[in-house]
Amino acid sequence: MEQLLKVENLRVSYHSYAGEVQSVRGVSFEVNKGETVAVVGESGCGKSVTSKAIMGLIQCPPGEIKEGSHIYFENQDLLSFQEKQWEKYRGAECSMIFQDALTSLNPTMNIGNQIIENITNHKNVTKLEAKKEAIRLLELVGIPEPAARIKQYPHELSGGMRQRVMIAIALACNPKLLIADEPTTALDVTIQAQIIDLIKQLQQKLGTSVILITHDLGVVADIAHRIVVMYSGKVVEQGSSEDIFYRPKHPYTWALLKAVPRLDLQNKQQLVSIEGMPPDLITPPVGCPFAERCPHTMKICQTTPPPTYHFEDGHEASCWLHHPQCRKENLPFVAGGGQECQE
Amino acid sequence: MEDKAIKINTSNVLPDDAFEDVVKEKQPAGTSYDRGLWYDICRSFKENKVALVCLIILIIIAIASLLAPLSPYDPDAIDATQKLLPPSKEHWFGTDDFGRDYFTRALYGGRVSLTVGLASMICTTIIGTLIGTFSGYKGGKLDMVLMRFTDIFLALPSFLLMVVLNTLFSPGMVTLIAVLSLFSWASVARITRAETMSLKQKDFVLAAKSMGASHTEIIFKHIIPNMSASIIVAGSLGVAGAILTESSLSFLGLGVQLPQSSWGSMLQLAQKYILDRPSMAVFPGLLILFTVLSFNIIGDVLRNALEPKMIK
Amino acid sequence: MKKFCLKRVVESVIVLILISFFSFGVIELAPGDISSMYISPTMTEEEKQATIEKLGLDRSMGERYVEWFKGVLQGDFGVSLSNKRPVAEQFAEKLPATILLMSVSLALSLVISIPLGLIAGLKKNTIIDRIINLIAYIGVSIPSFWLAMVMIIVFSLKLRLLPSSGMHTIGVDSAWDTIKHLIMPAFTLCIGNLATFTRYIRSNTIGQLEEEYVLTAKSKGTSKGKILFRHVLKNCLLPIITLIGMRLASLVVGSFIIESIFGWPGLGTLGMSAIQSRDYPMIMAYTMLSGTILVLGNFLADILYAFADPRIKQGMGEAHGR
Repeated sequence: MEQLLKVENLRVSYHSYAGEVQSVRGVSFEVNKGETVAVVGESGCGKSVTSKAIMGLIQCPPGEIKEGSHIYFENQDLLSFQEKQWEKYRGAECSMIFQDALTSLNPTMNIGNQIIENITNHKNVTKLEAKKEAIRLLELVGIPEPAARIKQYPHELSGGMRQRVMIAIALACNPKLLIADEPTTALDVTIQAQIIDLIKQLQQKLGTSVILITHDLGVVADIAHRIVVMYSGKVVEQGSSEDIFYRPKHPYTWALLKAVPRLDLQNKQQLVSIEGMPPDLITPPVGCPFAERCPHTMKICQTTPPPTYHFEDGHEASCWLHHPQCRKENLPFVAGGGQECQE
Repeated sequence: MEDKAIKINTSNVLPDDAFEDVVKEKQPAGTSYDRGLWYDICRSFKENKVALVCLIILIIIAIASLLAPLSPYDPDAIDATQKLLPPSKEHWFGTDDFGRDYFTRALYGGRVSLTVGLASMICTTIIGTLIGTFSGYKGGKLDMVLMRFTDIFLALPSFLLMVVLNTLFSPGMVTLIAVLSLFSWASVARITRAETMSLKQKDFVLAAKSMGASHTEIIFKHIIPNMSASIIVAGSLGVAGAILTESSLSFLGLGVQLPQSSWGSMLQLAQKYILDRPSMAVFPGLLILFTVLSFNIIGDVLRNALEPKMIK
Repeated sequence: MKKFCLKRVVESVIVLILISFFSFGVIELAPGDISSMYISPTMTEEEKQATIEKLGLDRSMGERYVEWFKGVLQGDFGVSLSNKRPVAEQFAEKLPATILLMSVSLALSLVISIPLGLIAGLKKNTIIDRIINLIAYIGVSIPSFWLAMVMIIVFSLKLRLLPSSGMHTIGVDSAWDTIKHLIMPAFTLCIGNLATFTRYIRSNTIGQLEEEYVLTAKSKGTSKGKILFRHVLKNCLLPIITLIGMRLASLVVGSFIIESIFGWPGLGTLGMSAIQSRDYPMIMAYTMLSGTILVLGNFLADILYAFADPRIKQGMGEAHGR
């Protein structure tokens, strides 16, 4: 498969009153063409910041993208882009859907014009052609009577409809990459499924690559090809959907899976909640960031950050439990068998 | 990932005890970052140099007004030989049309202006807070009626009514304070009502209620202290507004009566002599400007510093 | 929409009636006997009695209020005590000058504050922003009558550039002459609003730029300039309409003081002289009229805002149950 996006050692900090918040601390992952990658983690783990960095939406200051970070899009380093290049790239090559469509749409501009804006930004078309295209897009995302809806304002639509409009805007110029940042969090459960379905359908139809950012593993189960699990600004585990769901290698992933309500559980297993709070990113812990909340913490976890262990087919996890010297028993998953990777 | 150098790490064997379990101590749940109102106020003055300068200006003006009797001149002593002198070593601000020392009069005027400003702010805050809290706490029909009433007070052309009231009743300090308070409590009431509405839903109020605290106890012990940040801000901005309005009223001759003076009434006099002695207009005006400006800036700085508290 | 308008009309009428109570009541409650203004010691007892009857002072306050209010509704505010001319007539004469001053001042404050506020908001926390902020702080803190005095000293007495009082130079009748007379009063009158608007637009610009729809626009590849003019500007300036309505009070009050300082022949000067001579029918008419301007302004601003903002228009449509 051809590679579309490669994030390499991305580090992003925000400068605040209290000090430097290290939101993203060395994140690396890849997205291939036509692939759906889910980035999963709880709020504040840096997943949204990562997606904003890919879109070039990090305000500097207070944000800062550290030296040595790279984001390659079709082998071009985005972080060396000038503003004009960014403008060409945003919306045309890569576009984004935000969490809350109500606040993400301009309240005083009708939805038609908001879609047309994206088209005219990148294509040399007449107003009328752009309008026709906007109607076609609204139809594509499943909005009934698109020709009439085009004059409506965001607050006149339901939550699900608004999110469809957001998708229509994002897809207006047939981007190669679509980033969906918690696209369903603000919606009712039934609408959630519809929107995820829509993204899946469109992804298959248009061949777009998708980065789906969510805190809910349940949402990504049948759409993601690969899953990246983030915790406290780092990638703790990544691998194919099956790997993550059936062969998790990191206690955090395992705990996340236990926290997803499922219908297919055999015996009456209880939902598990993860005790404690994620660490403070102004002074991140020296060892493994999850050590504080991990049920299997060892001495080394508190002093040294764990290395990344590679398993089969690009499945990797950063946890000391996979170290050959580790003799732990009664683990909920198979430890060891990975190869330590030195970067 | 395949292109990355993967090698089995054998050289770096770790001590075995590194993999021993640790016994974790329970962390106390949630550290509090709440350091109290005073801490926030002091910090905002430390961080914001402009606010500090304003505070110093205010302190200087206040102390100078308090120490006014130390001036060698009697503010009311008329001396026909010393009429309308320009600023000099003996008379820093010059003298007025009766030969009175202008600087001394400005100090005594400061007493009046600051007293009226502070006193009417205190009255305004008390009336406004009581009405606002009561209205917000009780809710229902009473709240609706009180708030309509407040809205009407906000919509009145208050300054004109103040002018009319002051004309018809004998002007003076007490009238000034009363009239100023009468027309400015409404905005404080709006603010405190909104805060009460949200505070009365909070757990600590519900807890106090469930433990049998009376309504008065809840209002005065739990709700009002928790609004102190907004009240302080409203107060600071309120003083600024009151001093400005007082100066306008005094300028129209509706403030304190002669021989007493305030900065505003000094300007009324200065207007008469604007052709001969324009400098007479400068000093009282600057004093008003600096005082009001300082209160305004301090109010805003406090608002920014205490805002997270208000939201909480 | 209809329902909303109706509600606002009812509210406005209630406020107006209260203002009329106030305008009337204050004079009634004032210490001293009103009739003493009309009665001279040389009058005979019968003449005195006749005057009191004519004024209606032998009747109850309520009756007189109703009578007065009836007159007000028909545009009859009674007769001025000082020059015995109908009050309404005198107000009608002075109204155009005041409206000219107020509208020029309002326009001036908007024309200056919009760019200043936008620049300060865009350049948040830079030197430019701090300077604009300081100017705005001074603007809200400066007593307008003092600024008027300082301007007279500087521009009329020292530089001799602008006339210090009146609306026309006697014998000259050109637009330029009126403009020269208008500059200082209009500027001193607008300074408070100018500062308030600037601060409001600044904070609103900052707020709007942090809104998520700006991120969306950016992620469409929209350039900074287009984001500002196509998205932010409208959302930022809409609430100004309401603010103008609220700030009308300061115009009415300001014109009251400023007009008398600059000898501008408008309502303010008229009101001031009425208050000084305790010309009760004039005072009552003046408070009533100022109140009406205020209430009407607020009312119009609300309706206008409702039309300009699609969110509110729709909300009202729903309230009407369409």
